[in-house]
Amino acid sequence: MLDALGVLFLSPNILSQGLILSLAVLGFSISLRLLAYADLTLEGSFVLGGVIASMIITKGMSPYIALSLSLVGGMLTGIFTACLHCYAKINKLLSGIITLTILYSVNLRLQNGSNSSFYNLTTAFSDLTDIGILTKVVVFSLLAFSIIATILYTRYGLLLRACGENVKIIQRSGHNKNVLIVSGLAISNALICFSGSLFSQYFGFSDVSLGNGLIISSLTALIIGEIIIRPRTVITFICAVVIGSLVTQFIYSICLYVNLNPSDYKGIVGVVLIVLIIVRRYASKGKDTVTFGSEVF
Amino acid sequence: MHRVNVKNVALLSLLLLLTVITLTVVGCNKQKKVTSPEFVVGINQYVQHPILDSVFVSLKNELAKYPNIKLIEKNAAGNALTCKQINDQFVQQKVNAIVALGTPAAQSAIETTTVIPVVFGAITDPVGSKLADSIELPGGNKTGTTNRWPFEKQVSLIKTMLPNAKNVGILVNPAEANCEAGMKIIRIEAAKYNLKLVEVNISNSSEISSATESLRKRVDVILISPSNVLFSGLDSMFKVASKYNIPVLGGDVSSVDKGSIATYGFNNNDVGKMTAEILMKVLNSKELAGTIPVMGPPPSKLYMNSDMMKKYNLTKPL
Repeated sequence: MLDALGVLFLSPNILSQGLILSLAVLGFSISLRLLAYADLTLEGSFVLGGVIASMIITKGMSPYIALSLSLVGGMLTGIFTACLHCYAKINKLLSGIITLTILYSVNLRLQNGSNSSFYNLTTAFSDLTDIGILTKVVVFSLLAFSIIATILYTRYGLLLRACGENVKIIQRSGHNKNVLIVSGLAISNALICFSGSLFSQYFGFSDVSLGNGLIISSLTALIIGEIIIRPRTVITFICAVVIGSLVTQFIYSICLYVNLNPSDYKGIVGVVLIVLIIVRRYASKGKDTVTFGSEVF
Repeated sequence: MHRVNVKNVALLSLLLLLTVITLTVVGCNKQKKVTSPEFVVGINQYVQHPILDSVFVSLKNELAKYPNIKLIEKNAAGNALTCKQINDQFVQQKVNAIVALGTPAAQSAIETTTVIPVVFGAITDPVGSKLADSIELPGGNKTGTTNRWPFEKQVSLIKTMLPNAKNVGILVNPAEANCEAGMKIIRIEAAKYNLKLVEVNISNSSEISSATESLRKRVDVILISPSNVLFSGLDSMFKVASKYNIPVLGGDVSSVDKGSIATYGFNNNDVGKMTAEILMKVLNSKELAGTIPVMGPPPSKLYMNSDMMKKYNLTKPL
């Protein structure tokens, strides 16, 4: 048993999965913590990434084109959601749900079916060993993290944070909050869609059910990360997201290994989330429960 | 500069440690040690579903005859990520073969390993979902069974039972690979018999009732599509159909008991037995799994519901 657990923890596959998912978690966290926008689009834009990958890869084109197009696709979905909120004055939660619903049909149309396999086709991860895949994932995610960190360290990044913390200040200092929300969600969904594209290529197939349960698992990952590292800066915030995602993957993997009843999973995740939120409250000792950005949940 | 909160880290790692210990203890108790099994087989079931469940149970019963096989049973609860993790663990545990029930489980298995034989089970369209290069020669490390319904016979049943039917209603879930695969054949067959298909899309079981309602006065008969969503809400379809006296045909064998007039089908236990048979072939053969042809579907029989036959004044087809 010990030997099995040891193998489990060192497995490069779990690290790869955790890192790929951490991109999506980071995207979700940007809208949630910086913009105070609980953006539920992610389950749709994540799938969209896989769908774009299937459209490009099954036509025999380069997987890297798929990855770059997924950034564009994600941005569009983010802009759409934000516009629903900013210009059509639809509630934040509802705007995400509406986009998510529309994306379901769009994804099915674009992919021409629910499931598309990349077997024997060139993906970003074809012909690589587990370690090779991990290296590539690390490179991709480091690149994404550094770009996001750079953006967040600029004046614009500061404005994004201010937009979530105190909209009035933004408006009184003569900035347009709509532009900030639209661009912020575009960045966040571009990341999520990119993560979805990487994820489906890593899996070797794209399926419209790939995003199921992503909202809750991203939230769990974020909260775990925030409890371990109480982030106060941009860098520690990104670290919290990554560590949270990896820990969540380890826990999932252990649950699987010990053969828990699969129909109990969702119940367990729900209970764990409740416990975590209580732990977070206790750990903050009456101060802010969320140390970086605003607390939506 | 930022400081990591020591107390929180301690608290959380304690929690984690506790979880790991309890889970390991629970797990140890569950996994009974078998004395030196010759073969270790990992079974990865995509989701809990009546058809997959019955295939799984009959497969397990069949394999129980061989004491030298140790089974590791996993269920991914309908999550593609979990599928991948299960297959990763199988590869780490160096199993002798992976049995994957359900298309996503099988797809992720053939992506995870090209060495360990993968036996897929209960797949509607192995070639279309790229699980096999062809039925005769699946290629690589993969082979398995298909449980494709005899759609040709089911469509022809409309002509033999209800010769005057022109418009055929069908509820389709475009989000399911197996449903789309079946629909391709149904569309071709319907065109052969000059039947007009009226397709109504559904995406979850709560829509079945109103979708059936919308078929009223537009169709003479309803054919059951191979959709899992429809399968779980069949009763609501039968309820509406019988209210408006629309006969329903086709479907799985179990749908006949529920209210389908008749269908051609097979027992899902036979698919499980076939999967066990092909697994034994793979384990005992020196050759690559991909050289063993895909088996199934089992021979189909005509099943009828006598109450429904009486209701619509139908006679047994010759």
